[in-house]
Amino acid sequence: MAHYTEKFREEIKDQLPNDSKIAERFLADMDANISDFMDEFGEDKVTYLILVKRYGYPEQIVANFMEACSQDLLREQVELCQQKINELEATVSSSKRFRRNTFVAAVAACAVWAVSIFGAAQYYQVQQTNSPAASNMIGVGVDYMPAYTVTTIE
Amino acid sequence: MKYRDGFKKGSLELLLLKVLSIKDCYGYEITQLLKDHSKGAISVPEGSMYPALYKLEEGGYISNEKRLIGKRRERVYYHLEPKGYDYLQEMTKAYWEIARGISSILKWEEKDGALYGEVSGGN
Repeated sequence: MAHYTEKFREEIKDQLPNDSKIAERFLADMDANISDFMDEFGEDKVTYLILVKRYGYPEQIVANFMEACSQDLLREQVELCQQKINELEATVSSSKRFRRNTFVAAVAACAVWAVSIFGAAQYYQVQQTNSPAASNMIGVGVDYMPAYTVTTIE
Repeated sequence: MKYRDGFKKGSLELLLLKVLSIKDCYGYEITQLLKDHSKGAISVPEGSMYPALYKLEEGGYISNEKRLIGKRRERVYYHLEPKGYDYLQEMTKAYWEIARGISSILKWEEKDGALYGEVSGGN
């Protein structure tokens, strides 16, 4: 778009609510109109003032728009708020679910770890019991207890 | 001139439906047709017209169709749906009833201390 039409469009855009679908659609329609206008008059002749003469000042255009669809804009805002509340609720609930799942997974991991350690200990004990050295040790009894070396430092 | 805007605002939907009952139009064309046919008395700013068109569309009274103009430019043409045609008939009927009523009241004249008008037959 030519400089003036771009300026005109930007001024409308700046004053419209930026999170509104109706406002977006209106801006798109105004864009189409401005393009029409350019085609009719040619880009060289398009000036800000000619646009103003045809459509009014951007503030007027936006004021008319806001007045005409104030109810719809309000409804949109309410819907947007409700949507954000739903998103927040979903986040909180998924976070709770995540914490619960993490806890369950941790408990399960601990249980698996405990069982595996117990199993390994049992296996080790059995291995020790069945080994020839262990067989020799059975008769040794208390005598096999390792002797502690006491070193006295003088 | 607030009352003037009030009259226009109250009849904007009716006027838009009437124009679209004649032919499919794009936004700017509607404003021009309204201006031309009312001999300049009714000019509807885009800021007011589009929200009214969106509402009519939401209600299923009109629909829109994008048409390619030239090689790259698109125009949105609005089209009157059967539901919109019925709505236009209802609104037009209601409008004339009210307009006749208002007209009769405005034509009252005071004669010999009593009010006379078209409503009472001017007796």
